[in-house]
Amino acid sequence: MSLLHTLGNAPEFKNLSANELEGVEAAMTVRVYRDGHVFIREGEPGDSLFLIIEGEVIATRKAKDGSATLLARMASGDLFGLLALIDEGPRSASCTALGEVVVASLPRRRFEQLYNSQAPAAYTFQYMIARQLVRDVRATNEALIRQMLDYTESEVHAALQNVSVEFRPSRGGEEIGDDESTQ
Amino acid sequence: MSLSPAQLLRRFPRLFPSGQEEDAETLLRLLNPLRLPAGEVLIERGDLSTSLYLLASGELETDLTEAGQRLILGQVKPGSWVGELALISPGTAAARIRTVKDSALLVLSHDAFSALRLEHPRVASGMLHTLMLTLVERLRSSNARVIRRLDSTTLQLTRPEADDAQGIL
Repeated sequence: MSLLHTLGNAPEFKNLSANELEGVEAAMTVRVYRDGHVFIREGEPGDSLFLIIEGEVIATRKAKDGSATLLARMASGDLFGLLALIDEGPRSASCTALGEVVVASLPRRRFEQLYNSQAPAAYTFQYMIARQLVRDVRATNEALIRQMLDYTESEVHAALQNVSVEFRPSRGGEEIGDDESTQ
Repeated sequence: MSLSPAQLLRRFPRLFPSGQEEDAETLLRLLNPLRLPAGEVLIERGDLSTSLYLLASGELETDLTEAGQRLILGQVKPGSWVGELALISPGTAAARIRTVKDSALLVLSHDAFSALRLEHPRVASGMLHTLMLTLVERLRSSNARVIRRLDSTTLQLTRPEADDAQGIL
């Protein structure tokens, strides 16, 4: 599979002419990477965006105890490294090749050149990034909302336990008293 | 209420990175005004959401209700908006949004935005850039919070932050 083919498969690029697609292609560098290649290291500054053409890449994050948590498993057509490209902040996760992969990279400088040229391809590419961001935000929202709702449940549980603790001494005392008197 | 382009630009400056009144005029043509009294539901959790809602005046609140429990995620004040996810890519609303005050909104549908992208790509792209920055901010804070929870074996109370109103719909 080629970069042009991968781009052509994205719904965002359907309306672009072959010339415009070639403009995007020219700005990107396609390479084959070996298993275990680290594209992005969590916490480091980043200045490139990546598009998977073939193969798989995993996104992981370090837990406090040093073990890695798997965040996502990405395949052909997926973009990664978006956050740092947009806000110039540090990388939020590590991304590693899972087996041999073909990946196209786009340095921020090239992206900005493309963008400033006001070429239709640049706008299209921006929209492709926006849609990927929306997918990512929806996925984390899901996780966060589940956590919040779980938490509410445990909060309610804790509150109920507190209530019963507060009432227990007197009622418990009476019960114990009753128990003792009946024994 | 009908806003002039200059008023739209002043009320929502971040949507027009160019700062040009002409851009506000272009967008204004695609906006539909919507007035809602306090206490109305704008979007229910699980609804198909397809629009961006700019809040010109009033106040909105996003919340989650589950098993009789209500969790307030955040408030939206005038000059801000909800629905950036839906605008970019229509989908299911993750939370409920309702008015807490009488509110005046300006609605931009996904279809209208698609038209804007075709006819005025520079204006659409400027708006999109601001919305994307919001999403990135959202992702960074959400990721950190999800991970924090994955890390901790004991439950820790992480209070919903004020910015939870944005990036959820």
